[in-house]
Amino acid sequence: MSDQKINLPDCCIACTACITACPVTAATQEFRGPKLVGPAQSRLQFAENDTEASLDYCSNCKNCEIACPSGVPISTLNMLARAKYYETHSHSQRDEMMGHPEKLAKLITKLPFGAFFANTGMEIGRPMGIIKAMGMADQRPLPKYASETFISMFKNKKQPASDKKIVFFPGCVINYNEPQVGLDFVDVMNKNGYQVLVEEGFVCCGSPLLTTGYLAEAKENAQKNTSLIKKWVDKGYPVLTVCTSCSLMLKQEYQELFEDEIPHMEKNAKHIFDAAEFLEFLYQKGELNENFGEVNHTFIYHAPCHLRAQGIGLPALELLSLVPGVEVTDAGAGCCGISGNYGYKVENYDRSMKIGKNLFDTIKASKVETVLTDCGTCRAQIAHGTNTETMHPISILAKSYKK
Amino acid sequence: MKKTDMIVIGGGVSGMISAIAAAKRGKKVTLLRYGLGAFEIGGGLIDIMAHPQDKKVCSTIKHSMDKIGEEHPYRKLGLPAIEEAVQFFLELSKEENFAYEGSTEKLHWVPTAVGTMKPTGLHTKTFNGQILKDADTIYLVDFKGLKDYYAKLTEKNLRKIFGEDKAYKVVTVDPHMEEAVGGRDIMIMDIARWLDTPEGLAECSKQLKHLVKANAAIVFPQVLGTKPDYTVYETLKAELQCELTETLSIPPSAAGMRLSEMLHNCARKYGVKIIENAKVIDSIVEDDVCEAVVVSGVGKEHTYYGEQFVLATGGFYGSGLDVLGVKKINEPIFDLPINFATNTEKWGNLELFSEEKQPFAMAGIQVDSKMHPLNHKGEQILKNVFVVGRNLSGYDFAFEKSGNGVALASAHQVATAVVGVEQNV
Repeated sequence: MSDQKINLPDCCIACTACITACPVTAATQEFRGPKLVGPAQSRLQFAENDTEASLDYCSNCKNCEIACPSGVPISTLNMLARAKYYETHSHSQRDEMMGHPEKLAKLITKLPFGAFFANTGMEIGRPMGIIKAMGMADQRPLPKYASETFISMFKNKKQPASDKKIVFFPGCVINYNEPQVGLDFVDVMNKNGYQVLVEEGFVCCGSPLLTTGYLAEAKENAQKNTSLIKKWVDKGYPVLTVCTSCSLMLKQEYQELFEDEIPHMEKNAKHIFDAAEFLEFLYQKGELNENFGEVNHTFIYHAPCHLRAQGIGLPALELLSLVPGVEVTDAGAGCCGISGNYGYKVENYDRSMKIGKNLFDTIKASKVETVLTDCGTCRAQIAHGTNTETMHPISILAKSYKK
Repeated sequence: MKKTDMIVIGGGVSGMISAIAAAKRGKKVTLLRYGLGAFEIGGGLIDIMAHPQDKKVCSTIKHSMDKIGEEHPYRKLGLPAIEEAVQFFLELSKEENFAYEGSTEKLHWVPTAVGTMKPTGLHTKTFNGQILKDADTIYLVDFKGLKDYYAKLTEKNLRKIFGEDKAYKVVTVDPHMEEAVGGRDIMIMDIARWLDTPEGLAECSKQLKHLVKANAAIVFPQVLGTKPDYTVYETLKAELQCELTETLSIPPSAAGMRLSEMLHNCARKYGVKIIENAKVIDSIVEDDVCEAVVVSGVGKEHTYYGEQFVLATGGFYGSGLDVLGVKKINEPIFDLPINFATNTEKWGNLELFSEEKQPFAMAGIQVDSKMHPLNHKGEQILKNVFVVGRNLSGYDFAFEKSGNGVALASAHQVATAVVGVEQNV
């Protein structure tokens, strides 16, 4: 890690592997491609206003980095260039909103019946053209808010006490939109003899801030989370997430973006796990509770790009193959096209759907009823693109343990 | 910790082939890859051998086994093993409905983007220089806005080779890529992706029907799709009633993308577990047996335990060999001894297109006939480690045009050896 944090445009040997792997490049000729916009442009930034116009097209999906044989953090270079642009340019109101999903969610969930009115408002707002007028794609539903947050539900959740403890980083999607996934995660950890602790001081990992060009705010979040994670790591507790974009941000992007600016990130990263990564590690050590009950169902699994970037393979797929009755195949059909808030922006909608088409076609052709994937926005995109039920793999494990 | 049968380090041609060949015979294989390999540069052909000694002699491996040095990987393998590997690959590609053609005994010539001819070994049907010899009329297809392809130049040089008694004609297809104005230059890959779509293929075919007459030969830049199938080739061939060939071109290579996807599909089919973005940095060795390899990972290290290990990390290009100074080369994972095949004091010839093989290019790891690494005394070092592809010493792939051939043959040999080891136990 230490030799490849950032600022390595000169390690690019111009082999063009990233160009073939970039889903945005495949979808539009307007994007100049990862090689030119990332490393080449990074070398050429002489003047402050010397910004590559097609930088906005990059979705930070990281397929370029997965393809790169030389360890160049191409999309992170793009995000840094985007942040530099916004040092001298102002954000749109839309970006203000989309970069701050946590702020918005906090506001809504604090109001009485806030989630209900927000969801209703979004439903009414779509046909009225309000969503589009705000710069957001009105062809797709916006993520619905849950009536109760995960943090609030967790407080009433009974767990068997244990000496073995892990700390859960729920992230915005689980806390505000899909709390049940968080509860399923707690059940699965309990079944493996772990007691789950939740740190209420955690803030948004900062991924949406980063992709919208709010680097300074992303850094504030990184500072808060890093010091809290350190506190738990010092006690010997691992920190787990069930969102692959959160875990990538906490493990890797913090270090790439804020190297030498925030202490303890490198040590912390050694103790931060994706939930399936942690469970698969238990399995490798022979410590996983393998008393899985039968779940008779056929699934397709989609590997989020931000999971593939983590160099841990597809651990959820490994775990699912242990569950009796589960038939699961890897879609292997590339990026779904959503990339966090990217596909929610009005100007990106068509491109987002074009990127996901291969995956949608694969899912539709398979005729399965349920798609499993570890990322919340991937789930939303797949549900929208295929009219298929989507679930987090951890929920299947939870279901299996209950049988 | 749980162990897998075989761990392959590297996802280029040699890594993928060794993983597929072993998995196809029932082994549980995990492949650790960092980056996409050299497919996009390699061009999708399997060059086996063209220049065993110097540039004057052009010969196949079948007719030059005695011309190459004793240290050459092909000499370690022997001709039967090379031929078995070729057969394996031809059958594999046929199973995938993307049959390659060619052999160890005949060179196959393919046109390049600038209209010269290049010898190769195994190739798809889409590369065929022979049709230019046979045709009376040769059409050269250009695409409006396509960067880095000059059909006029291709024509000029092909005239020199195939003579003035044929008719040559450049025709231009308009792919209607208006988005490219002010955006990205149109690359060969972009045209190939356009032809991947039914609409693009129909439009291209429609335009060409007005431009070419039947029974001619048509030279395309490398645009006949990015998918490992012959849909674009067969459709255009049938619609236009002509023979077709593509040219080799600069990266990114559409034919390399096809080969990459074909091998990827095979690996999935036979259950190879692929771990992407996994850079192996170290090994855990007890006496002369490797227990595990360590991946630097994102945030933390990961350790992978296995029975057998295949080092397919791609030489200098893939960081399989690190250059630490003049004649100081390091193999970073197992710290294997590096062999300089020649006794020359020279590190390299100053001429880029030298008449001799480059000493630096011959540097690598010495192996026995099963591809086990050897020390300088010629003794086996690690019982369960194999070396394949460009990490091997004793050949200059660029000079010889033997890169993917050595990758294929050494990889196939390892899979055979691994299956053999298990059977003996």
